[in-house]
Amino acid sequence: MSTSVTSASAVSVRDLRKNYGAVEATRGVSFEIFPGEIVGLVGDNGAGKSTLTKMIAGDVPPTSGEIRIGGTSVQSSSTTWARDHGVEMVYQDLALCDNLDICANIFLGREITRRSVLGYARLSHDVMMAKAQQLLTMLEVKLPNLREPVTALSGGQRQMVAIARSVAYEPKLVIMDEPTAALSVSAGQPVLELIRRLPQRNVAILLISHRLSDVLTTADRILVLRRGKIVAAVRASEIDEGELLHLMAGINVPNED
Amino acid sequence: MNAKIAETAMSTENVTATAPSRQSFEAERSNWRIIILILATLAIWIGFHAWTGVFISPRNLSNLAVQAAITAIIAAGLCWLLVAREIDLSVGSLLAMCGVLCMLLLQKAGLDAYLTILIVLLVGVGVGLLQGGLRVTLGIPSFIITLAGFSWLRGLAYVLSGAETLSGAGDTFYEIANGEIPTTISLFIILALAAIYLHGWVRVYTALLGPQKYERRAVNLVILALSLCAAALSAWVFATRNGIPYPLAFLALLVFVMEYSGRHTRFGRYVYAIGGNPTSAKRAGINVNRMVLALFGLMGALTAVAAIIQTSRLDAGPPNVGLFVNLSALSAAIIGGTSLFGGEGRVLGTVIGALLMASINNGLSLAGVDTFYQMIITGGLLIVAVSADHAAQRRPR
Repeated sequence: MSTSVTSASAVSVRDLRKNYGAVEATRGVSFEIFPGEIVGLVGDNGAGKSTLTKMIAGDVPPTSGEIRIGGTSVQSSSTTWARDHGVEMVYQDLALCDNLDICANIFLGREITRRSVLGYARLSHDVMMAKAQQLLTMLEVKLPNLREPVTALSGGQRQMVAIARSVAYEPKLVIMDEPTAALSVSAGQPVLELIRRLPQRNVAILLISHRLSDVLTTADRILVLRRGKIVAAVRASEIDEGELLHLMAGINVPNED
Repeated sequence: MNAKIAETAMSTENVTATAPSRQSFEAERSNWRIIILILATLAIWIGFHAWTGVFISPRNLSNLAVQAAITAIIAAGLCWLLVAREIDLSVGSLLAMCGVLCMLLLQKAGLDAYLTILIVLLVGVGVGLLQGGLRVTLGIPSFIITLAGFSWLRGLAYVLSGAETLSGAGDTFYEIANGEIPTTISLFIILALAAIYLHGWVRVYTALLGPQKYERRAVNLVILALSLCAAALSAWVFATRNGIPYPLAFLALLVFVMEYSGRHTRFGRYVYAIGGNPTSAKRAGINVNRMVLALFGLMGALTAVAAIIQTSRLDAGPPNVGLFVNLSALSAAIIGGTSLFGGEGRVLGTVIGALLMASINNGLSLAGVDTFYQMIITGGLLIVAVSADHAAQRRPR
């Protein structure tokens, strides 16, 4: 695995450390993800997965180390900064506003407006509607009436709306934190299929999941995190669930990489 | 067990494509709710007219409108606070404090009416921002912050007034609540609004002429009928003997601006987004704290407006006024379909809720029924309205 920082990578992380008092959540993590690549991040509870993703998303400042988003070094930790520089996050708990319709959710916080006669910014409902429709068609996501509040949707459909929203503004990196954890296995399938279609849009994806089979079928590469360190970086096609479990648990098995 | 999984798989895969339309089903539902509220109010009017013989008259309805407007203006602000999962229990006390302040500025400080209005508005906004600021910076629930306001603002009203009621606000100030737009201009306004409305309605309706939209057409036809009735009624009430009272004109403008911005501006959409899911709103980059602060500022401003109208109407600033305003404004919002848990509610519904309650109180007074019975009936009404709403929500889509 190459650890050199190149401008071509969507995100690169070098020697990232985070200490909570005496507890070392991550102990020098380095990796990079390229555009159009899906990288799985697996690890047992407490391995440092969420600390790592929070640092990349600007939620938590690292103790030391460097994060570069699309070649730009992150100077201060802020979720707004990260978002503005192309880092999107998809959460496991279906983070949509249930009372708003699908279209409003897709554009939440980034509504398209135009100056009205009286000088205030009026929401351009028709433009947003057309763009939302276009986006969903491109992603091959079929949903009922986009004017319907998302309460009416199934869990899988909601997660697809959340994912569609995350790629609406051409981000460099989308971090997916257990995107299928709240869904049944069958409801999660269309969501995983959607994630597999995303690299066509030249976006890098960091997929965190406890369901190893999901990671194995969806990711190109897999990073294994154990006690705050990356202990293995393997191609998904070159490993199976059993070996992955061994790596996560820290039981030595021969590794070709 | 396996069969069960297969079953859920079937249901989640059940995706159908339908043509997009401008209105959401949610908006549809709230429209029906408002229609039912209006019909209920009309039924109450007819009932009281049959009972008292004087209810539906220009004089009484005009009086009723001003009566309802004071509660309605406060309830409108409360509606948006509730939608955003906040609450304000201090409105009644702020109403009294601002009323006392009006009289002090007019009489003791000798200021003119306009300067008084400006200062009282600023004080209202200031108190709102103070409470909102405490809410946001300390992270204490607004229920508690404003419960404190309920007490200290009332205390302040008594301290400022020395527990005495000043009266005699002067001619200009008296005009605010008791003055009217001249009848000819009133008639012109009503006709112009009706014409603009009709024009917009025709456009919306022609867009619905495609197949499979019968239900929407029905809603729109009912709304048209009600709006034309309202126009005819207002023309009769406000353009024959008296004109449109200023408080009513303000309320109408307020409802329009709030309903419009609720649908067509970022601010309005964020109010609902915060109510739907505050975490999501925050993650989407919405500055939730600033929104909450702004809503409290708006609440303070609207309470100050209500206080100015109230003081002008009474021509006095008693420190013990509005003891039940918190509860009546809250009742109006809830009867109007505003959810106490946030995310749901409309200003128009809330204002009609206020009108409905004021109609009952007004009618019972006309019929000579004791105030104590009015309170009992208001309580019963609240339970009926909310349980009807619950029943309607449980109905499968």
